[in-house]
Amino acid sequence: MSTTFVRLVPAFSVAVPLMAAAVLAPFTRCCTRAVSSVVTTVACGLVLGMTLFLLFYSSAHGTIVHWMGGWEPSHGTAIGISFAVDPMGAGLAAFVALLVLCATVYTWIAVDLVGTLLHVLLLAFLGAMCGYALTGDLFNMFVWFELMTAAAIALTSHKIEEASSISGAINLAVTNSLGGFLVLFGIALLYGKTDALNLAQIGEALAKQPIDAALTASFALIVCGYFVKGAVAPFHFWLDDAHAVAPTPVCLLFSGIMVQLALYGVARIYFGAFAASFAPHVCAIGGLFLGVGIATALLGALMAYAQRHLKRLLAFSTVSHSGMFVAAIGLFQPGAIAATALFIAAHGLVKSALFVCAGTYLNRFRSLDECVLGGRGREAPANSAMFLIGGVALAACPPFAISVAKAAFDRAMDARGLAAVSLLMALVSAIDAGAVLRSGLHITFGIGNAQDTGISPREEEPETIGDHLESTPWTMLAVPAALLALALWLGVDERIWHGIERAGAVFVDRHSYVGAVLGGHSLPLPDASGPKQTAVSLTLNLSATALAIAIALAGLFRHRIPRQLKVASRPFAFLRNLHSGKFADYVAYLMVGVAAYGCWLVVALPR
Amino acid sequence: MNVLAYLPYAVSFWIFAMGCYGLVRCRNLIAAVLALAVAQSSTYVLLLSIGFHKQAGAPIFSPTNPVGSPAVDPIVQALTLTDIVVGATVSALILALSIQIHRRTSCIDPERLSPMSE
Amino acid sequence: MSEHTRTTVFGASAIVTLALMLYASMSLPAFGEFTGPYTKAVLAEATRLRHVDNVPTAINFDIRGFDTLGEEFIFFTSVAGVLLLFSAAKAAAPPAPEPMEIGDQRANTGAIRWFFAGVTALIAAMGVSVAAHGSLTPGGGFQGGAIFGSAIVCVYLAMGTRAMDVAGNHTFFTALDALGAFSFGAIGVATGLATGSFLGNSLGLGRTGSLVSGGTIYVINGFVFLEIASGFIVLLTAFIKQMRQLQEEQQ
Repeated sequence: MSTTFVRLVPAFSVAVPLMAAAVLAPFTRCCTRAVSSVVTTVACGLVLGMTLFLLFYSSAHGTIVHWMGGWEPSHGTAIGISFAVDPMGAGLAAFVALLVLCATVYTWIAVDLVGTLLHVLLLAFLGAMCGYALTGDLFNMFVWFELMTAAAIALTSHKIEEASSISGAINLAVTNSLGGFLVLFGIALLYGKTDALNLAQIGEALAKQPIDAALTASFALIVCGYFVKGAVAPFHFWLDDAHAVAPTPVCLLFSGIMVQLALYGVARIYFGAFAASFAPHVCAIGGLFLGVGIATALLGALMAYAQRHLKRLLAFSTVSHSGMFVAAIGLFQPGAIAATALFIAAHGLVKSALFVCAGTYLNRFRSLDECVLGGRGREAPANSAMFLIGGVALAACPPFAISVAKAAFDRAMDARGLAAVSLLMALVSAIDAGAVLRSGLHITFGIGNAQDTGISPREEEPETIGDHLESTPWTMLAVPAALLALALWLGVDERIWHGIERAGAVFVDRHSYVGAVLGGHSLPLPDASGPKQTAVSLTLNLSATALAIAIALAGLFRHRIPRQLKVASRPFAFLRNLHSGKFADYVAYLMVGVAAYGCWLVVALPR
Repeated sequence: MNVLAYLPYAVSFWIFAMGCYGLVRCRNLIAAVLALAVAQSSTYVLLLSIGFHKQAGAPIFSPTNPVGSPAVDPIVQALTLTDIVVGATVSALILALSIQIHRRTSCIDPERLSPMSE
Repeated sequence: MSEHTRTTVFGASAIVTLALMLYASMSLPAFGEFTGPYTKAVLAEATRLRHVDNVPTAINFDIRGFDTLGEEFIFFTSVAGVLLLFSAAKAAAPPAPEPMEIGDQRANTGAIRWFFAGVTALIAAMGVSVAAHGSLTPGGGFQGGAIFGSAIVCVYLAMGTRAMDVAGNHTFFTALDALGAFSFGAIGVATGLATGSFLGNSLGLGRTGSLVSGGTIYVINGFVFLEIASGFIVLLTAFIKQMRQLQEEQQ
């Protein structure tokens, strides 16, 4: 296989879905759903194939670098845009393609598509996410980030029957656009200091400069901007509004990978550009990430527990997991990065499966409200079973992959003396898995009293043609089954974890990255062979699962709990009021967040 | 220290703050779209001011302005140029959303739109 | 939060953020002092290697052409999103038989209509010219396309909805929009397979200073013009139709 062709594959994996979207768009009215489904599925399949190829090739031969337009660096200055594909980026791109393929398969049968524009937007979204994961240029990353936002706005506003649905789309549009502006400010400041847009080039330029306030500010702005999309507190408020109104395949993609890609972007920018100059101060930055991560995780879990709308519950669970990912990234160690990567993949698979199950409830029973659905789960037994299995997997039950990721996460935390944090995170994930299990148990068996928030349930419009479905189509069962099976396989197969560990080691190594991008010599992956799971972590994970089930049952039977043991409801009410649904509030919180992050970083880092 | 040397940067930050203030205080979705456009324009101001070079001409060469004569930074100009067109279309998206809300509820005051949270 | 609390919270944090950013910008090079290796390399090489006088055009369509591909697709996706929102809302609303024109139709005498037809032609010609001279003077596909697209509003104002529908035929321009977007990607793929680098410039470069110069830069410029112009025409006609529908619903 000639290396020239191999180097073209990353560019093709971005261009193919975009071109497919352009091909489908003019035929929206005359195209049958079959034709558009076939085109979309084939395009997704092609991208999946290409990105898997990139994953295996880069694991064997090292980072694949391609300079667009043939503009190779001259005298050490990068001129063109480079794609720098290492196993982590390729793996993420493959995961993106997999989830978009699942979303497409979900739409094969019975889903009401307005023309074929849903498929056009999904393909554009796929191209953007692949480009984001594979690129090595700072501004190019921003461009794909903007395309993700534009596609996300259009995808969220797909069901526009009610004004509140459109509110969700507007909240997403306003907050994510502001996030994009913050990133652009950061890029401008960084460009002003280094006159470079290529990550490796910036890294080299910063290695020769002392840190000053402009660099710190640019880092703070880029982090804040990407944390908006990454749903990290206090930038996360748009996520549950968007999930409440977006169609199921879109929710699947948002929670499954889009949010996590933004966090990957922050890590990539840190390790590619800032690591050289910020390395002596990594504790200060890590402290910020850890603090913010813990706060987000707690907030997300508590809010998830307080929800009875299934999609909002799952959305807050995603917020909570985002907090865990940020805390892990804040360790800035290869082991932690590898743990985060596996955690992202495992969480994405399980969360997507849960969203599809929720979507099936919507299409069968016209409701996403836990109280209204109580007991009706028995009419959709396969679906309810998968929902419960997903909840258990989310609680880090072995042998699902989340347990392996959790074990690695705990090891990374313990290595830095932060065992208390890992215990706290285990508690947090038990709370949000408990919320999922609580709703699953109530919906399936009708036991206990569901969350009573005093708000009358409302009927939702199903996403399918017609009033509601009498039976679940096979696509809506096959997708979560396949996702959960994959989550099981990822947890069981040793080679996966070893591969991810090696990818993590490459990810943090700035010198080999610069060597590959600017120097043209790629090294194959180093060896790694850490333990997958020890007996201690096995016990911890099993206890976490038991705790989640206990929390779920406590939620269902809370009227039987003695009054003294009940958790106060005041904090819940305060948190709820914060999530008001008005973008004006969200913009205010965003500004508070930028000020807080900025103050911390400017004070903690040298000026 | 020459304050004027840093004034353009300060102006761009101020414009951004004003755009965000407009978003926080607006009582009309159309005003929100315009505030977002104002915030976006602040990024252009920053990019273009960073790339400026004194006593340099446009990066467009001709027989009277041959290659090699001092020119401002063309890269930020290229970035800004495409961003403007793109910003217009994202505003169009949000305007379309506002029109849909108006059709459903005859109300475009973000304060009075039906509450989303449960 | 109440409006008052929200404004206070926002105000306090905005002041802090402004102060921090001002402090940070002190470490930037002063206004007018910017220089660096990337800028120097591009200014020195772009015209020599690509025979294009307008360096930002060379950057947009060649050196950083991949960014422009992404930006073009952002435009394309937003247009698709707007069409999606409006088509889903159209539902069963039938087209009104005799729409009331803005301004009294009888008052639009032949002279005024011909005048505006001339203005429209002028705008369109200017758009094409700005785009065609993209390699030589400030301009290019993006700017020319935006100018050209705005001509449709002139058609609507002068001659009404039916003329706008004919001149800005929806099917034709959505197809053209998609064609422009697709072609950019296709050129990338084709040049990738031909030269080994995606969006590599492999066509004859022409003479610096002539209208058609820059090789693939000129071709991509043309396709971007097509896409942006048709995209704006589709957007503007969709918005104008929505506006008329709203007016009719209110009567």
